[in-house]
Amino acid sequence: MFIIRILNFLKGYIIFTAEGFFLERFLNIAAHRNIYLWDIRRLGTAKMRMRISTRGFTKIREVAEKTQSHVEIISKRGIPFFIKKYRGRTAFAVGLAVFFVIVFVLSFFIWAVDIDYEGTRVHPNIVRAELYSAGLKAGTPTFLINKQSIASQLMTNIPEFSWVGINIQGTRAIIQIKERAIIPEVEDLSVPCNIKAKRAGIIDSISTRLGEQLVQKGLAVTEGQLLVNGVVDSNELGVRYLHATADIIARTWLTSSAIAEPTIEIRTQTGRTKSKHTLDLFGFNIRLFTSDKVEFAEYDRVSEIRQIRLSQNLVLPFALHYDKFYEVDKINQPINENESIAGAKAKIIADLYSKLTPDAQVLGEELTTSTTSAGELLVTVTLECLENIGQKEEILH
Amino acid sequence: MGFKQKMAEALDIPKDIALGSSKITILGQNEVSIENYKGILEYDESLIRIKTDERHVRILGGNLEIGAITEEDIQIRGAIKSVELGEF
Repeated sequence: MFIIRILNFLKGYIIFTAEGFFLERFLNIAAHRNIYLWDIRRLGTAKMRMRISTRGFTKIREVAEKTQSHVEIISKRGIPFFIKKYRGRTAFAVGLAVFFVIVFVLSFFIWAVDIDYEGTRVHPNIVRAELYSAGLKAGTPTFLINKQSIASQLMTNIPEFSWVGINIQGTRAIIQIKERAIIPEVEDLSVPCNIKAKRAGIIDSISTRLGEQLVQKGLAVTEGQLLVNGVVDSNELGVRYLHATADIIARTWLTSSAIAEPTIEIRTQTGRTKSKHTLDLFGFNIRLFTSDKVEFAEYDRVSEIRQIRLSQNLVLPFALHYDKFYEVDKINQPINENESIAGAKAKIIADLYSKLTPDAQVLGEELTTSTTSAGELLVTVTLECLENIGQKEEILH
Repeated sequence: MGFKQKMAEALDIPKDIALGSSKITILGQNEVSIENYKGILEYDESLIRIKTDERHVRILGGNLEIGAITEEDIQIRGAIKSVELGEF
């Protein structure tokens, strides 16, 4: 039935009313003469409304005459009538045709590259750059894309990837990436090595499993000092080269200092803003407004890119770039001594913690201040920690 | 029984094809179609009478509508209450 409806719409049909006292006869004669009528509805005692094909309508007048009924057109529907109505508007028709041709041609190209990557080890920009060099970028014809070779190139050049899948849906390329699991680093125990001190300190505890222990608990060691010797000489077995293994926990002190700044920089937005709109067309930036010079000395910028797409997968090569600039005032505001020391301390602590071994234990901290020859306030922080200072060093022989 | 009818029965040919008997189909609650009908006798919103070779068919209901009509088939839509066969 639906197919017939579409067919009728394509061929065009007429809705009309027939008025008279012999309407049953009217229907019978029409049916007998192979005039196809449908959706017949009675509107009153002497009136019916129905639909008829355009061809059938040319024959219906005769039937109406024969049954003394009056026929009146209500409306004409379908493509032929639509075309007739707009026949004079050539420019519109040409524009419509050009539009469809452009959309059709554009649908052969990739206009958006979406990366579906949940890992963190590779920055998405690197993936994008790699895809670009492999030939998958906005503007590439879809039929030129060799999914297999791009996927393998990506996997070869980025060793962190174990699987790359490329899906092309409409004008959108979706790249799915699975990250390789990290292989745990296994120490090669056959390589002979010594253990040296990574930092100066006082040995808090030492337990040696392999190698000759050279220091005891309570001994102060300097940086680079040999703590466990991997070369063992004994009367029974002669000289052996071992992979020295030991846990050496030492009390260490880390010191760093910084100048306490008497002022603090404060950025405040003045409330003056400036908007800039550009249209990205096939990779060319077209300015939508002429006066888009930003005169602010200091500003914050908020950018938004909106890709134009007909549907989820039908992305068009047009994008709108919205840039908003907020003017900013920079003020160096003076702060009191306590605040300035606290600021310097926070900076030092952050710096020291980055130098600690990950499993280090901080026992205490000490803060001292002094005045430099230039009159500036110097803040010094010392951290007392317990950390593993053993550092393996290969023996070359 | 006439000769034609006997033959059709013996050869198992569908009678609507062999003899032009009418075939009435009731589809769900809202549609009745009649093949091999002869003509419409009366059409009203609540009543449709149709002539076939053998007898008359009377369809009662509400909001009756003729969905499509050709020389052989007629399709009736609407809230159908009854389909009666006989001489009306």
